[in-house]
Amino acid sequence: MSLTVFRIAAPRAESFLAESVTRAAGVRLRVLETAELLAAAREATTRSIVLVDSDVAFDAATLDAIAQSEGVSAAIIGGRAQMPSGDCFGSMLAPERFGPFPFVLAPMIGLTGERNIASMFVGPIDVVARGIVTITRSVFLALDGFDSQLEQPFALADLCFRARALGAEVRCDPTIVFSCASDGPRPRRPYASLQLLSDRYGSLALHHEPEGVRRRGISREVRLSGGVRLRLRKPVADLTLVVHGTPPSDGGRFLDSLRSNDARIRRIVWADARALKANDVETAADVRDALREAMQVRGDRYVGFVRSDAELHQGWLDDLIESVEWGSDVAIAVVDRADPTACALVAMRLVPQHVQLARELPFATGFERFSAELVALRRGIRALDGTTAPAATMPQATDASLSVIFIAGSKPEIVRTSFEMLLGQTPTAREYIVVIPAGTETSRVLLSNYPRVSFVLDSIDPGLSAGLNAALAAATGDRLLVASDEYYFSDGTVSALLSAFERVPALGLSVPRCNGGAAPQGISEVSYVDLLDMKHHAAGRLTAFRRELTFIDRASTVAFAIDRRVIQSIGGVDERFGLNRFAIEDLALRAQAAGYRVAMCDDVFLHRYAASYSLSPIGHADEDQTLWNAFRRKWSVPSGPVGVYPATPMIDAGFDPKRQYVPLRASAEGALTSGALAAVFIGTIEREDAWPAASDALRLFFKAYGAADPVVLVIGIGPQGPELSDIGYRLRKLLTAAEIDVENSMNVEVVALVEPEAFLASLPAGPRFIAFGARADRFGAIERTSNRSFSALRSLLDETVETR
Amino acid sequence: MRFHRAFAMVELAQRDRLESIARAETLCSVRLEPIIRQGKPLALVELRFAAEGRAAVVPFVLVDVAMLLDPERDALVWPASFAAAVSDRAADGIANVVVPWIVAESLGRPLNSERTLLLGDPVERELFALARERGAIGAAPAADSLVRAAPFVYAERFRLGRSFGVAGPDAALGFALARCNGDNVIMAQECEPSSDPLVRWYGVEPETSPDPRDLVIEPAGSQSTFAAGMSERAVRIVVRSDFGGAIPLIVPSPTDAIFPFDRVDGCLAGSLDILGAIPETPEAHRTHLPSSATGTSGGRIFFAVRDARSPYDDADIDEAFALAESLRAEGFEVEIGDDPARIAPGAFDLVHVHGLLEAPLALQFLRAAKAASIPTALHAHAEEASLGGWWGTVVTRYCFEYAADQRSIDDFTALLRQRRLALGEVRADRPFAPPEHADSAIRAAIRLSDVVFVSGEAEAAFLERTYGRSVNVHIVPPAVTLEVEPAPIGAIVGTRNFALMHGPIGARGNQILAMRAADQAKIPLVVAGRVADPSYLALLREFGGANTRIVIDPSPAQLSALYAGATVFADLAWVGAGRSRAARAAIGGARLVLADRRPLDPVLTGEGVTRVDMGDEPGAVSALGDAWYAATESRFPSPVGAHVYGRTVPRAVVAAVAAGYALLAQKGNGSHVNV
Repeated sequence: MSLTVFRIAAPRAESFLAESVTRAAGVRLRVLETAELLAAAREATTRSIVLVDSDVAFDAATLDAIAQSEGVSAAIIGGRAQMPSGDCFGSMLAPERFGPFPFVLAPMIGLTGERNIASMFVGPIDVVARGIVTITRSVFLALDGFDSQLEQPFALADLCFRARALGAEVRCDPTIVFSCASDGPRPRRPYASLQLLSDRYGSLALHHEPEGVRRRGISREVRLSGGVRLRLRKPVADLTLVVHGTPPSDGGRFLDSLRSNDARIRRIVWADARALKANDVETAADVRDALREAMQVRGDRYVGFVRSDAELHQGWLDDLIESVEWGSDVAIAVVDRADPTACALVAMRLVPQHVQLARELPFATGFERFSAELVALRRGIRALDGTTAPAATMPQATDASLSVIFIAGSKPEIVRTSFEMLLGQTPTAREYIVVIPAGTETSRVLLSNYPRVSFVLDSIDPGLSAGLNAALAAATGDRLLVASDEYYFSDGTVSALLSAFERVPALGLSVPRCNGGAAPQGISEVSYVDLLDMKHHAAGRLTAFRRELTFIDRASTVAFAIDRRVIQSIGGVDERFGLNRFAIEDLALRAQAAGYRVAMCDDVFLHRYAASYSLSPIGHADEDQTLWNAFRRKWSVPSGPVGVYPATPMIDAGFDPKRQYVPLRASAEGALTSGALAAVFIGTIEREDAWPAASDALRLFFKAYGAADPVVLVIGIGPQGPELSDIGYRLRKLLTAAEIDVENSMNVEVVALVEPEAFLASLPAGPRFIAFGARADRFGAIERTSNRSFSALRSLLDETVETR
Repeated sequence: MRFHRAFAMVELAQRDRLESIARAETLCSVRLEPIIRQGKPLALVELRFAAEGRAAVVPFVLVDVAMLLDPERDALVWPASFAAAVSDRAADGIANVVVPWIVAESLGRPLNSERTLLLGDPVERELFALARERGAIGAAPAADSLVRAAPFVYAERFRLGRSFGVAGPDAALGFALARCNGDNVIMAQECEPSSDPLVRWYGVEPETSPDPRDLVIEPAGSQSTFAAGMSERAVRIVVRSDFGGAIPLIVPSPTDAIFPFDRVDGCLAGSLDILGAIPETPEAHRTHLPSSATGTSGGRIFFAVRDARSPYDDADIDEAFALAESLRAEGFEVEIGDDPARIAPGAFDLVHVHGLLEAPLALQFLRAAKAASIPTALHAHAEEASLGGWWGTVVTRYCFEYAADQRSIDDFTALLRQRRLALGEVRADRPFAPPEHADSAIRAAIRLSDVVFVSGEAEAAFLERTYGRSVNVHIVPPAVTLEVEPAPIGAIVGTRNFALMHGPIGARGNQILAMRAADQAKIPLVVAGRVADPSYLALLREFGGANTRIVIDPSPAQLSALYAGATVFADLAWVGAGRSRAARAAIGGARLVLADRRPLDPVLTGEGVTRVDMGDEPGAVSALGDAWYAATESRFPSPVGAHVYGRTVPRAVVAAVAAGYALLAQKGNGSHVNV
C-alpha cells in the first residue's frame, strides 16, 4: 500500500493501535506536529498524504478505503467520523442569524437511525470531516499547508475553501470510516479564527449542503426545549400552486418551467377564465377564491402563486422554499419585493386562521393587507435577494376587552369563593357569563347578586360542555377567560395569564400551572398545607417566574384564557368529551393546527380543588379510558397509555374548518325547559349498589330515545347513592361506550332525592313512567317500563304522542 | 427582571444614579452588538441614560436572542447591579423601547453587525458621535471600548488598601469603574472635566485632590501630577500603546475573551507596565532540598505517564517527575515517557505507570511490559470517579454554560449540591465515565500490575473493595516537586495573600465553583494551569469577578512563587488526584481546602486541612473563608505544613517506593531491579 500517513500531535493509546494497523498494512506512520507537516509533505514521495488526528482510531478496512479513494480525482477526501455526538460527514458554512459573523461552521451530523445516510453525503462537500483527511500532495504544497493563523477546525475549513478556489474538488467518501474520541478540538480563539474566515469568505454564495442532503428535503430551524435552535432536515411539505393571469402563448413551456424544481407540486390550480387546460391542472375563476380555498387548511403546508407572465428561473420554487425556511419566523417568500404578486410562497403553519386573503379587495391590495397582518404578528417576509419586509413592531399592550366565563358546578361555598377571587381581579371585565347545570338554584341565587352576571343553564350536558359552547357564543370580549370553579385564582394570576397575549403574537390560549393533573401543566411537587400557604406559593411563583412561559402542545385545565378569534376560527369544545382534560386538549390541538400557539404561564399557579371535595361535575374524567378511546378515534391516535400521543403530526396536518369546526350553541337548554313532554321517565338510585341495574336500564333508554324526542329522564339520587357530581361523568361514559353523542342523547336531569313527595312535585309536566329503581312502596302505582325492550320503549313514545 | 452576575468588573454607574435616572423617558442611546458566548449566538446591548445633567452608561445588558423569536421569557437580561437599583416597572418600560427595536431589526433577516438607536436630542447625538470616536463604552464597538477598560480592570487586583489615581484620555472611564467598585479614586488635575466629553458621557463627577495616590493608572509618557506625589507603597500601571510591557493588552472578543491578558488569546492592542511597590512574593515556610546522588545505579526504570511533554499537567504527573528526580538522586536510572512503543524486552528493568486518568493507555503500558517480561508498578491514584466525579465534570459546566440568567444558575447549582442534576443518562446516582476512563481498563490495570502504590489505608481499602486487589498494595507518601528559584509574581497576583488552585483548566478541575466561592468570600484566587478546555477558560473569565487571577501555563519559577506565597490551597477537582500539589502547598505554608470524595490521605490530614464537597458552593465559601481567616489572622504557620514536611522528605519517599519495588524481587517476579 503506497500511502504516507502523518499522525498529528500527541501520541496516545489510539496512536499505539494506529501504528499496529499501519505497520500491518505496510504503511509507515509518522507522528509529527502541525507545524512540521509542510516540510514532511515535501519530503514524501507518494501522490497523496493522509493526515490523522491524535484521537482517531481506525482499522485495516479504513486504510483499504483510503487506498481505494486515491483513484478519485478529488484533491481533498474526507470520510465518516464516528464521534460521541454522532456520525460526522463534514461541515459547511451555514448562515448565522444572530452573531457577529454571517456564518457558522456547522457540522453535518447524521442522526441515529436515519436510512441510507451515507448516500446523502457522498460527493462534493464544503469541508471534510476532521479525523482522517487524504490530500493530494501537490495541492497541499501549492496551498502552503494549513494557515498557521487559524486554529482547528477553522484551518481545515480554510484549506478546503482554498483548494476549491484552485478548482480542486473537496469530497466526502463515507466508506472511509473511523472513530474519534471527541467531537473535536475546542479552539482557544474561535472569535479570531471566525473573524479571519469572515474576512476571506464573507459571501456564502459558494457554500451549500451536499447534493444528496438537499434532495432529501428541506432544512428547517427547529426550536428545542429552552429555546435552543437547530436545523433539521424534513421532507418538503405539501405544496399547492395557484397560477393567475392569461396563459402565455407557449403554455406548455410555462408549465414545464413551473415544474423545473426538485420540490414536487402536489396541486396546480389555474385561476383564470382562459386557464390552460392540462390533465393535472385544476381551474378556478378567480385567483382570490383559488387562494382562499387553497389556504383554507393551515398546518405544515405551502401555498404559492405565480403570475403567468413571471420569469421563472430553474429551481425558482426550491429557492422560494429555502427562503421561507430561512428562519422560523419567515411566513412569506417572494421573488421580487417590488412586485410581490408575481410570485410568492406562503408557509401556512405561520398564518393564523383568522388572517385571510380579502375577497372584496383587488388581489394586489388584498395580498398587501394579508402580508401586513402577518408582519404585525411578527412573521417575516423575505425576498430571494435577502431583503425583508419593513420592520415590524412588537405588539404593545392593547385595550383588549375581557369576558369571563365561569363554570359553576361545584358545591356552593366553592362556587362563591372562586367567583369572588375572579371578580376581584377582573374589574374591567365586560361581562361574567356563568354556566350552571340545570337544577342548581343555590349557585344561581348566590351569584345573581353580583353585577354584570348572566347565566347559561346547561340542561343538555351534565358535564357542562354545551353550556360552555353557548357561553362562548354569547361572549363579546376580545379575550375570554374560561374558569371552572374548581380552580382558585390567587391575586395577580388573572392579569399574568392575560398578559401573555401582549407578549406573544398569535397566541391562542394561555394556560396556568396547577397542582397535580396532566403534564405539562400539573406540578406534582407542591408543598403547601393550607390556603394561606398556597397563596404564598402562588405569589412566590408570580415573582420568581415573572413573565415566563413555555410553549406547549397540549393543555388540559378548564382554566384558560383564549383569544376570541380562535373561537371564531375553530369553534367551541367538542361536546363528545364533556368538559374535562380531553375536551381542552382537543381544543388546544385544533387551535395549534389553525396556526395559534398555546403558552403555559409558569408564573401562574392555580390551586385545583380535589373533585371529591368540590363535587364539581367536570373534574372526574382525566384518566378515563372510554373518553381517551373517543379522543384516539377522533385524532387517529394509535392505542397506548391515556394521554400519550404525538401532537406534532396532528398540528402539522392543519385545521380543516369543514371537518373540524365545532359549532357553538345559541342555547344549552334542552327539551326539559322548553316545550311539552310526551313522557317523563323516573329513575332512582338510592344506594350505590343500585348503579349496575340502573346503568343497564340507562343504556336501553339512551338507545331508544334521542335529543329530539319530547321525553326526559329524571334521575333521583338518594343520600346513600353515588355522589351527585359523579353521575354526569358516569352517564357520559355510558354514552361514549354506546357511541352516542351527548348532543344527540335524550334529555336527562339529575336531582337529589330525599323525600319522594318533593321529588315528584319537582318533576315537569307530562305522563310519568318509572324507568328503574323507584320502589313501589315510595312511588306508588306509577307505570313501570323496566322490562320493556328498545322497540317497546319507542312504541310507548308513539302511543303517548298519539294519545296527546 | 432577569439578571446576570457576569462581567461584574465593568459597572459604570452607581446604584443611586441608576435609581434616579434609568427609565424609558431618559434613554438616549442604545447600542446593540451581536457576540458569541460559548460558541453560541448572543447579543449585548449598551444603554445610556441622561437627565437633569446626570448620566449613566449601562453596559452588558445581554439579549437572549432565542426569546426574540419565542418570547418565553424577557429577552433582556440585566446586570445584577442594574436589577438591584431599578424597579421592574422601569426596566419593563425600557425593554418596551429596546426589544421592539431589536425585533424589527431582526425580523426575517440576519443580525450580524452592530446597530445603534439614538433617542436623545441633537446635543446628545453629538455627544454620542464624540464618545464613539473616543472608543467609549456604550458608543463604540466592544473591541474598541473594552480594551480601554482593560488597564483599570487589571488594576483592581492591586486595590487592597490603596487609593486610585487615574489619568489620560480614558481617565473618566477609569474613574467610573473604580468608583463603582467602591474605590477611593480621583482624576488627575490636568484632566479638565468640563472639556472632556467622556466625563459627560459616563456622567462622572470627578474629584481631584492633592493627596498622594498609591495606585496610579496612566498612559506612558503622561505628565500627570500623580508622579510627583507617589508614596513608597504606590503601584504605577503604565498603559503602553506598544507591545513591550510586561502584561499584554489583547483585542477583546466578547464574551469569551473580554479581558484575557494573555498573548495566546488574540491580537495585541498594547501592553501594561507594572511599576513601583509591587507586592513581593513571600518565601515559603519550608522547602525540601534536592539531595545529591548517593546511591549507585540500581536499575533502569521506565516511568509511564499520559503526557511526558507536559510536566505541569496533573498532580499525578508532577509526582512522577518529582519521584523520578528523587530516585535519580539515589542512583536509579529513570526515563519518563508516554509512548508504549518504548517498552521492549531488555530495555528496562521495571515499568512504573503513574495515574489512571487515561486507563486504556495505562493498560497498554502494562501489557507491553508484561509482553516484554518486565515487572510493573502502578501509582494508582485511585478514586471513585465513575460514581459522581465524572458526572460533576459534565453537569457543573452546564450550570453556567447553558444558564441564561442568574436564577437559572442558582437553581442549577442548588440541584448540583443535592446531586439532582442530570444530563440525559449522566446522573449522579448511576455510574458514568467518559471513554478514556474505561472502568474495565482501570480494573485490568490494577490487577495486572505487580505492585500498586497507594496513598493510605483508605485508598487500599477502596482498591480491595472496588477492584478486588489487596496483594502487593503498598502505601507511599507523595513525592513533592522541589522548588526552584521563584520568579516575581506580584505584578500578576497583586496581593501578598492569595488562595491558589493549580491544575488543568477545565471541567475536571472544577475551578468555576471554587472561583465563585472565592469571589463570594472576597478572597483573591489564583487559578494556575494549562488550558485543557478553552471554553471552560472562557467561563472562568466570564464569571470570575475582580478576585480571580488566571495564570496560564505558569513557568516552574512562577509556580514556585505561587506555592510559596499561597495562603490557602484549594483542590476541589471533580476528578484527578492532587495530593502531591496539596502537599507542596502545605509545605509552603498554605492551609488546605480539599475535595472530600477522595480516599483519606494520612499525609494530608489534621489541623489546617478542611475537606469540602466540591458540588457545594456555600460549603466551599465557608471552607475557604474559614481557612483564609485562620491563615491571615494567625501569626503562626499552618500546623499541617510541618506534618506534611516530615512525611514527604524525598529520601523517605524513595525508601517507601523502593520497598515496594523490593516486593517484586522477593516475589521472584523476574525482577532485575536492584534496590
